[in-house]
Amino acid sequence: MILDTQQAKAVIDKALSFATADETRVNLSGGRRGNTRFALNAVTTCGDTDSLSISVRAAFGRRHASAAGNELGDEAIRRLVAKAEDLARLAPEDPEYVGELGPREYAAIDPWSDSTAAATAERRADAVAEAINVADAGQLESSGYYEHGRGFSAVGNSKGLFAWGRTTDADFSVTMRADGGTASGWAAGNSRDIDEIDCAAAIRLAAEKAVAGRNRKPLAPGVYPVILEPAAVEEFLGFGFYTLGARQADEGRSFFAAPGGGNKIGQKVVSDTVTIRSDPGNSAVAALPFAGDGLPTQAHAWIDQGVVRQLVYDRYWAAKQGVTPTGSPANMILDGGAGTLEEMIRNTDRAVLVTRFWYIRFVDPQTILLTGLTRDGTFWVEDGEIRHAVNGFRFNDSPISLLSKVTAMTAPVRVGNAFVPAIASSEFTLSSVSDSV
Amino acid sequence: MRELADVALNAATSGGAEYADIRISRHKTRGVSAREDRLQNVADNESFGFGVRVLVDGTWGFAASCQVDAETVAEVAGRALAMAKANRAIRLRPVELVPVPAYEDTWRTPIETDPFEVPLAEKAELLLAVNAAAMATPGIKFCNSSLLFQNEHKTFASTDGSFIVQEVFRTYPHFTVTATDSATGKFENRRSDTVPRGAGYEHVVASDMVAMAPKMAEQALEKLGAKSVEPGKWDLILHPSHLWLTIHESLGHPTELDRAVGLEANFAGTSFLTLDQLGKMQYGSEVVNFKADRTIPGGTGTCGYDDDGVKTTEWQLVRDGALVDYQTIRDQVLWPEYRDARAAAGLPEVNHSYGCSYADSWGSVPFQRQANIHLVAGREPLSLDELIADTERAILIVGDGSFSIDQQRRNFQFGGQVFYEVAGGKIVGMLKDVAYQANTQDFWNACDAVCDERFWEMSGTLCCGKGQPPQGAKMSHGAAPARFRQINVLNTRRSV
Repeated sequence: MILDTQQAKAVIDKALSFATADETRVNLSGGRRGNTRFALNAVTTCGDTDSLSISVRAAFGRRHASAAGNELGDEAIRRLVAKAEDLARLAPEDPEYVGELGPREYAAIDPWSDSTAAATAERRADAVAEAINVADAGQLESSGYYEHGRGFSAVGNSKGLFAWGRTTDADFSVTMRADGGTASGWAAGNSRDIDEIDCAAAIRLAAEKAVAGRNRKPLAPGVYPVILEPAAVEEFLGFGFYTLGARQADEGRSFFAAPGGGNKIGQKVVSDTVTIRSDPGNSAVAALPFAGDGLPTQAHAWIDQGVVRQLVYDRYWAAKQGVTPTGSPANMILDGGAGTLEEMIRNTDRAVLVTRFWYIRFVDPQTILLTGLTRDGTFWVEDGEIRHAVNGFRFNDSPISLLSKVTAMTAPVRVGNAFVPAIASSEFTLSSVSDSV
Repeated sequence: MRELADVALNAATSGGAEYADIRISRHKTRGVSAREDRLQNVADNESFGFGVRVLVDGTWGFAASCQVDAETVAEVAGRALAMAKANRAIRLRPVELVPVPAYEDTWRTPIETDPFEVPLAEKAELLLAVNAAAMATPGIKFCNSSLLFQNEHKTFASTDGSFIVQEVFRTYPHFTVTATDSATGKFENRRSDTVPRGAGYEHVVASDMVAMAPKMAEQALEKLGAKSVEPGKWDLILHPSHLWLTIHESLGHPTELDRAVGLEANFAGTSFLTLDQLGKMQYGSEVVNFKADRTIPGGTGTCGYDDDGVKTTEWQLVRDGALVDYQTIRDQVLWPEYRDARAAAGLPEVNHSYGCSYADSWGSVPFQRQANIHLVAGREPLSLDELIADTERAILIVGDGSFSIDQQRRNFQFGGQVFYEVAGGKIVGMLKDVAYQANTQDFWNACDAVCDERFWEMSGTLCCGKGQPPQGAKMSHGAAPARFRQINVLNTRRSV
């Protein structure tokens, strides 16, 4: 369920009126999400859910605790506040407690779409029907997922801070499998505006990749030049992106720790063509202008032309180190270059073209070494053309290594909460063959 | 609750549903975490709501709400009906549910101490004591510890006539010690040898983390200075604290029948254990036997009834290395392809679900989730010491670490917490930078020894992700130490 700014403030003020703690913060969020899932050319599950969550953090001096629930009646809120306060009174003092923020100004960012908010199960069913029709016509097997949501988020505290915002999001993905699962293709689209998602184009692309996958030739494991499509880039870099914590680096416990002490701010770690940043106001991946504690969401360049410029400082560690807190990244933006994936392929002598990755996990946080698999469309490119499909691979490699060997990047596109390009890199370790499709 | 259930079921049937169910559930979690000498976080979460599922002309519809009153229940049932009708045109095979008896029953995890009743001070004191015990080891500056408790209270009612109330508890204590070398910038983590359980606070007490902490701290330091592994073919001896995750990924998931027939293709993928392999595939060697069991005491996936209203049970998945069954839910049992595959394999007809349906919240659609699945202990007496003594050259792996497996569950790669070199039948030192990579069928056929019942232990997870939208399920996996011959070991050290 969605509460507008007045309704949300009324609930938050009600909770604050029950509070007896030195400081109290109330977070409120909710919404409606709808989804339709399909597989084997038929719908499988479909549903929609109304949800709501209220969380209270209470602090007596440096003793603090939080309690969360989802009932909004007066008595339920009163019990929730009491529970948070009871736990807080019992908690030991936390020397890292930073206290609540006073009122803030927030950027006028409204990541909302009326079209997404109004989307229905019927709209989803139409897209699914299209996927099934294309699959039937091509003797393929379709499966996929179509989800959209509308929601709100609000925060208020005993120091008078209040913020409210709303969001929408929509996501469509489709997998086409050929010949009893001997070839597979995948494509997806997502946006806060459901009208911007071209389901028909994604369906066609997934089908084309599945058909192209029939012509598969073996390729041995090894170190290859690669082109990673934006979905693969988002999955791969996303893991590394969340190791940017300053505290861990300063404590000597991450890749961004410097030998001998301190961190790598000011050091060049990847190619000077690489800039990775966050910006809640970026129109493609706009985010709420406030975080859960009410800190305004900020734009930051984490890596600027290959050099580490900033790490993620929470309020406690920022105060300890005498710097300004950054807050958590609102999104991930890799500025990329210009041009399309097709142009990049035309300019490539030889490379393995990767549609997407799967089951990426950390192997060694020291070097951000990751492992995972290629999936749903892996091809060999030679002399500017896609020549044929190849078998899948397990990789073992690091985003740091990939970004140190970048040879080209396309213009960025939205993938999830990221705005990233396709990347061509001169070396990537495809360490073993995966025969799976 | 019964009145609300009646509202839902009556609205569903009068709206044309041939089947309907409602789950009204309250989900509680309490987490306490500490780092070094301070408490970091105390959080108590509770969520209450209901979900209505309907089957109309063989098509599912589902809707849910956190507003629990008769009017909303009726409205949500109506939305579920509309959902089913909207999807009728894109439904291929009508869903048919295998019949189940009507149950009027209650079930509760047998616990000694309700973890939600234990005072916060006691929990905080414990975590700070764990961290202090770890940091008493010279050279250790970092230790994170936490306690996580879950409680699910579900009321299930269906048009089959069932009314079942269940309360499930789960408890997970754990900590991680980090050793750092500021001169080189190197660091190593050692996570505790503790496990999640379907249990109460007695499990925290029994885990005795304070006593365990110094050993974990010493091992974190030892890892910093350990020898880097020579890559290549090694025999592996895998401790249950490690092997549980390999079982989960390489056997548990590919034997989910929905995955095997292609229903998870868009997300987690399919399975190399296709139905034509039933009764034919030599999944593992003759010492390899796997059982599924949602009744085992202490299992995090243990309960009385699944979310289709099916009484939980145990059954065999792999016998003497041969694939003999799958994990199933109600709407799979009557699939002709499953019944035909069983007949072709000479297996008896089955007319009941194995009870693997689960929804992680009142707002989630119930679907197939993995059961507790165990490697059966070896039939012959064999201890871990005897297994090591019988092995010329191997790596003994304790604890789970990195994990990754492909979309049909063939190519996998696993790390661990600590690695010991075995030479001439003895442990000769610690190794590091170890990961092993194999093809599932090759791996389990390379298993030539499993220790006996005395050395059988159970571990597991509170967060197995599956589905779209994603849901988290809980399950346990038991095993005894086992040996695998000539597995490919990688050295994971890199320069970047």
